[in-house]
Amino acid sequence: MKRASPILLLVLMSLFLSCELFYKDATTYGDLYVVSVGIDYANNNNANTKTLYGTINDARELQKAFKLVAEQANKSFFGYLMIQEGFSRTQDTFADPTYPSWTNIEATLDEIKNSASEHDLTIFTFSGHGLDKKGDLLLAHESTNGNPSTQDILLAPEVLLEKIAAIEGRKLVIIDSCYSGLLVPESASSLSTHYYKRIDQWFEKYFDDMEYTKPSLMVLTASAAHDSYEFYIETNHAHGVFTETLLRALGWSHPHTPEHTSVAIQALKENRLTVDSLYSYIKKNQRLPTHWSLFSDTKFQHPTTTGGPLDMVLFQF
Amino acid sequence: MYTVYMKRRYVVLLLLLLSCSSFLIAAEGQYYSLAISDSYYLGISHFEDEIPARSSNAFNVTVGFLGYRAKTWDLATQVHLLFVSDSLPFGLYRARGFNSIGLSLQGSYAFSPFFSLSAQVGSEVNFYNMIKEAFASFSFSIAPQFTLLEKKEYLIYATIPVSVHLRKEITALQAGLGLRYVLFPFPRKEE
Repeated sequence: MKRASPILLLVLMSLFLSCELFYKDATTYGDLYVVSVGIDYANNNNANTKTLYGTINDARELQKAFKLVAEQANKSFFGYLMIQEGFSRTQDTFADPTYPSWTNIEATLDEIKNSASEHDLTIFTFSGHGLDKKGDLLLAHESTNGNPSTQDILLAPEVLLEKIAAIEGRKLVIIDSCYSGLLVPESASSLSTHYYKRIDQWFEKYFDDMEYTKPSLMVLTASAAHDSYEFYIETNHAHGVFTETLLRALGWSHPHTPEHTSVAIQALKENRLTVDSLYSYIKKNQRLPTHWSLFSDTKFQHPTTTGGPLDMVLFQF
Repeated sequence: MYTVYMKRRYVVLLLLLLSCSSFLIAAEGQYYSLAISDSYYLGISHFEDEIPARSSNAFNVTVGFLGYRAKTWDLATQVHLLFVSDSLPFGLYRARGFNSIGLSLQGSYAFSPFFSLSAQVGSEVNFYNMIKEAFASFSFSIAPQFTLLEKKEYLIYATIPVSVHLRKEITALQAGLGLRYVLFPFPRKEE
């Protein structure tokens, strides 16, 4: 026992010395790439595809807000605004590289993939329709006449996430659409209590074969497996409920005329902006309740994010 | 199939607890207990991380609802709560804080009126503080106990718990300081 004691002490010492108290933090934060997609579907004749009024504002203002956040963090900003707005369905409209068809979005992501490094952060935002069952996203169509088929313009979550995952560095996918929580991949080590409520399922998770790895891609969504909403914050100025709160979290408040030239970021936590700090701010401050209640309007919206033991830092100030 | 296996496991565990309890009813000194401790929580990741381990603070509350004490040993079934903070900031990631609730079996052996050694095994469900995700885990701990105050009705110990928290992707070591209060609802006989 006496002989074992120094060895045991050494092992314990080396374990306790392997934490952040003894390591020098030499983290490098690189450039910021932001792709913002906003689709109002006004050029879609399909009766089932409702026109949305806040999505264009969502995409435009997220671009501006992230640009100001990047400036505040002294990082270079590369913005890609991709919007479909109004009734135009001409070939010229579709040929514009900022028109949010899958072909153009793919090309933009490929361009970022060719330039981003391991230190960079890429943020992809989507404001538009999402469909139930799988959380498929409805993109902008490319039919010059007739009713475009919904099936042809659906983007499966796994296709989008696979494309973005191929980019070097950290990635954050922000989706403001109905059923967007279905885009969040299941964690290898924990289960969402939105979908798995039984204790035996949590124990089964402990013993399953999935292996957790440090995530370089995280997802932040407006809702779980339910609807999401938009509202008019001012006359003629609508936003998604989730995105409006996200904008406030970034310091982009309303009204913003004259335009903000700097932001007072609201979701900072110990001088860091993280996925969880944004999520937490949205959950506490959004204009709809996060759960259905007997005493409130029947509308509710619960944001979700990637599970597992790690939260990802986006910016340090 | 797996669920059936898990359910069977719970039934076996419950039977074990009940048989232990009925055996102990014969022992002298039924007690209830309340223990609190604050620990350094060192999460050693099984996955590749920026550093081998991340540090958090852990606060533990344990309520012993079915305890029996003999001359030199005691045994109790407990509910334990664990509150783990976010880890210290380091690099591009940070370990999420969580809260736990679990059941455990605790036993201790007294080497002298002043010193005893306690051991505990248990399992718990854990909920991240910020996000709506849950996970299961197992834990065990050893705690030297030093008697601070002993009366017929109650006992107070100072404890130095050292624990291992077995999560799927992290093994965490905890070391801390605590207090344990043991209440005897039926005053004990003089020894």
